[in-house]
Amino acid sequence: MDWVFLGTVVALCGVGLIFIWSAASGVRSDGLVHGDRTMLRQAQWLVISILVAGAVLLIDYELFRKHAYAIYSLGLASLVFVLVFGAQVRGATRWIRIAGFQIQPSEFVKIAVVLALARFLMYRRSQRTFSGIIAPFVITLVPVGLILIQPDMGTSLVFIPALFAMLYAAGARVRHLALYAGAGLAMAPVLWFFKMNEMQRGRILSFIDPQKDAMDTGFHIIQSIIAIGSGGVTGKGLGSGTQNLLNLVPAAETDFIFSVIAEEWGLLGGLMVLALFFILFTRGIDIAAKTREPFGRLVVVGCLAIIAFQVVVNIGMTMRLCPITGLTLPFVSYGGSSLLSSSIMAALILNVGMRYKQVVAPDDFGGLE
Amino acid sequence: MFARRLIILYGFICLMLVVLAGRLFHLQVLCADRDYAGQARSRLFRQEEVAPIRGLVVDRHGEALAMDRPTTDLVIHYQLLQEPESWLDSVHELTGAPREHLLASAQSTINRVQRIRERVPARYRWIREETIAHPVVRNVSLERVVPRVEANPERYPGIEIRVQQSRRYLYGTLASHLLGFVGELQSGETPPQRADEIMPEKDYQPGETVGKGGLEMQYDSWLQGEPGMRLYRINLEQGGSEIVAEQPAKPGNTVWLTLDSKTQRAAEEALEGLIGAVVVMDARSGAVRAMASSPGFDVNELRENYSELASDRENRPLLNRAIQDPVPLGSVMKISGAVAALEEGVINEHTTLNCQGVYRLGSHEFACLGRYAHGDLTVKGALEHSCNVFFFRVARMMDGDVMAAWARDLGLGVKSGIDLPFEWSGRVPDSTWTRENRGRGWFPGDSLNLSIGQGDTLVTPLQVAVMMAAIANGGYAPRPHLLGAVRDGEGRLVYDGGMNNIERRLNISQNTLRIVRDASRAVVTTGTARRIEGLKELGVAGKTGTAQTGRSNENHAWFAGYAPYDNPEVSFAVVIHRTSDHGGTVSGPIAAKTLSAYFDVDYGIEAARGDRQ
Repeated sequence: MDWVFLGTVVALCGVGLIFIWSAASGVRSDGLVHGDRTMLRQAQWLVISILVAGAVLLIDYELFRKHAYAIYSLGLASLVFVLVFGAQVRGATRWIRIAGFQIQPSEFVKIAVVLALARFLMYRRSQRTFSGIIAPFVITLVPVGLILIQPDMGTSLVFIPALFAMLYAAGARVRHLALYAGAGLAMAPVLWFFKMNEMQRGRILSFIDPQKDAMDTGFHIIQSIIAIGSGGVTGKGLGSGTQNLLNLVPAAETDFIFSVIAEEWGLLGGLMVLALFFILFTRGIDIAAKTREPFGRLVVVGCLAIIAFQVVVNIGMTMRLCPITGLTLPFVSYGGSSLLSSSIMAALILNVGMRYKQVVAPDDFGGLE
Repeated sequence: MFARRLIILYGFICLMLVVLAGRLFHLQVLCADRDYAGQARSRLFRQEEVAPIRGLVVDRHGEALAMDRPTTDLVIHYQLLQEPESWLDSVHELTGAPREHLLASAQSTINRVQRIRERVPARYRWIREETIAHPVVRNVSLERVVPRVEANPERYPGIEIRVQQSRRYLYGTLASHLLGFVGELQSGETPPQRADEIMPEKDYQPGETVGKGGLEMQYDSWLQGEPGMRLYRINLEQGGSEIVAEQPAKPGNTVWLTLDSKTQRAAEEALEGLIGAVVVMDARSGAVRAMASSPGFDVNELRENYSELASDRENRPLLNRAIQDPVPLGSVMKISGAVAALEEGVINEHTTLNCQGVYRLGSHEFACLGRYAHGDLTVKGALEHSCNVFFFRVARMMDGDVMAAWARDLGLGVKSGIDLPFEWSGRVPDSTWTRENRGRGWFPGDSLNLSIGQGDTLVTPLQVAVMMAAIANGGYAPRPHLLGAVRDGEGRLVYDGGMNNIERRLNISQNTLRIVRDASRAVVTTGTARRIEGLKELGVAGKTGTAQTGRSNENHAWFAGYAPYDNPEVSFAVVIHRTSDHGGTVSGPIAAKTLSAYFDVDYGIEAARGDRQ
């Protein structure tokens, strides 16, 4: 049991709760509002996440390997279910209601795809060939496609780095991967004109020049940068972030939580969060390195890739290094499904780290050591 | 190899984290010059504009005609407007306004907001109009309605009382054509232009309240005040905001008109039920004392009734007939003809011409009224009895263009330059005009028509008043104006209208003027206007006219002149459209009534009613 890893996760969740409280408080038109209720909701989800993660930890991850494809199919089914029965929120069909809670299935499909890919790749050599990469792509792109229909561009993006990281770790040739990546980029203009809707395009345009649409889409970016910039080295103090308080940073408790942290705890606070994630990734890579068992290795790599991608893109977007995507900051942002799926991924990583498996099959990863 | 690849992946992630850390450092430490902290602070302050009170419009004695008054309106939130069931009954019960009116008012607001919504790009998720409350009933009772709504807000959800300044025209129909009205400047609409260089320059923004039409528009930048400013600091602890600094708004200037309310009122009353106009003007300065047009309308209700009023083609109540409805002048034209003839030397004071009641031109016959044979007349007699034949003969002695030029010199068929927008010039035809518009040169028949003010001659009452003033004041054409002076909020003089009195000196000999003046007086004492009560006593001198329109029952009845004849103070012109009466019969009494109000004497004159249309 990697206690450092666990400690980091717990610390991040704690930071999340604190700043969710701050982000949800502030001056509204009818006076001062306290973020207690929002924070409590997140705490509820945290409890659920702990229970589920605990359950995941207790189960030998071999079980996940055995049922990887089944879980994957379940994931696909849930995506179809969402499209058909899901609730429409702001033009997107992403959520289903279960017992009074809103769940976003795409968050969990991430895990299902990692599991399926890990299972697929574990004993193969074919990923060393150009055509061998096709199958993993298909495994990944089918759920991505379903998610894109919702439409949810942000979440669908996450799968790509996971796929590439896992393929790379499993031995695919770099030049093959580069070719596929190149082909993907070449598709970008097609996407731009035919598949992206106004809002998504607007986000890219605002990224390039936020002033252009300063009152609408560019508003988020400008406000976030002002909030962060004005934090200085030590920040304005918890609960006193003026931008945050005046409700000037939209989506402060979800997508832009890092802005709040950087505004209220300054450079020190921001670096602290980055450091926590750094530790998390270091321990995770360590677990992957120490594991001989191929499925386990791949699962760890996949989960780390997802978490890392979200961290980089989310924090990057608050500082205008990437366009706005709607990706949340794992463990920290407010959001039940996000917290739960991040916790499950953390639990899987810990799971692999906990169980040292003797590898007896001679050909794992097709002969890779 | 796996291990190596793993390390590469790890390195990749670490690189990203370093980039993020670097950017964070950059924003929070290095970019101090961008003053993010300052920007953050500045969002703590909020600035609000305080609307100024628009200046008053007052008459020559200072009596207020238009001013801003606080009104209490009953307003309902836009979302609720679309569900009338929730408020219709309670508002009806509160205010007594009929349900249909309430529904219509709500509907017109909804239509207006939807039109705005259509023009706004789709990515704006909400527009301001949809988030505010709109007035449904204006000017609700302070005693009865306001306390009930304020005391029981639960009973009246979404309904509020809002106090705001709104423009009131104190005597709704008085001078309605002159005053104009105010409204919001729409984007794309032309803002009011400065009537003179002396007026302050103003930068207009859509959404501002500006004057539209009439004097409100003409003198808008004087009437506009300057907005004030309030700076609020948002109080973080208590969640409210406090005023930190305030610059009071500067109220607009007061525009003093030359108008005399008493005279104006008398003129409007006299015109009631008729279609026509009255102009009374100071003969020396050109200051307009009264300008009335009938039918009129109530400016306070202009907004609600606009489409009705605008589409009434029969009566055209929005038309200012004093300056916007030129019609044939009839015999009043003879004044101009007499001046022309005398000055051109084709006749003199004693020249006599014979009238047998009829004048033949080719195969056409032109006659005096009733084919009455006047016998031998001098010009004075011809004016006194309004003999057509005399003037036909005189006209044939002159070049048509020369006659037209004299008419224009006297102010007919040209814009007078009055300080109101949209003045029409009418026309006095000459050979250039007939060539361009009739495709032919000048015919003798045109001279005949011109001499008696028929045919293509079109003239407004204001122009006639200018002509009469020129006769009365010794030969210069004053420039009519309504602006008397402009004073600021403390009463200090900003502009003295007297400075801007331009006049045009005409080249008419005093002898000619004397002859015409004597003749004009004779018209009233022994001539065509002798039977009109009060004119003699008031000292009026003038000329009657009845312009035919081709329809026997529809003449334009004119009476114009000046008073008192021995020391003229004012000139005037009255025209009634589409009447079967003659100039003397219907317009004369109206002039008498108006002038007795001006001179503040009461001869107990009743204006004749004439045919109602």
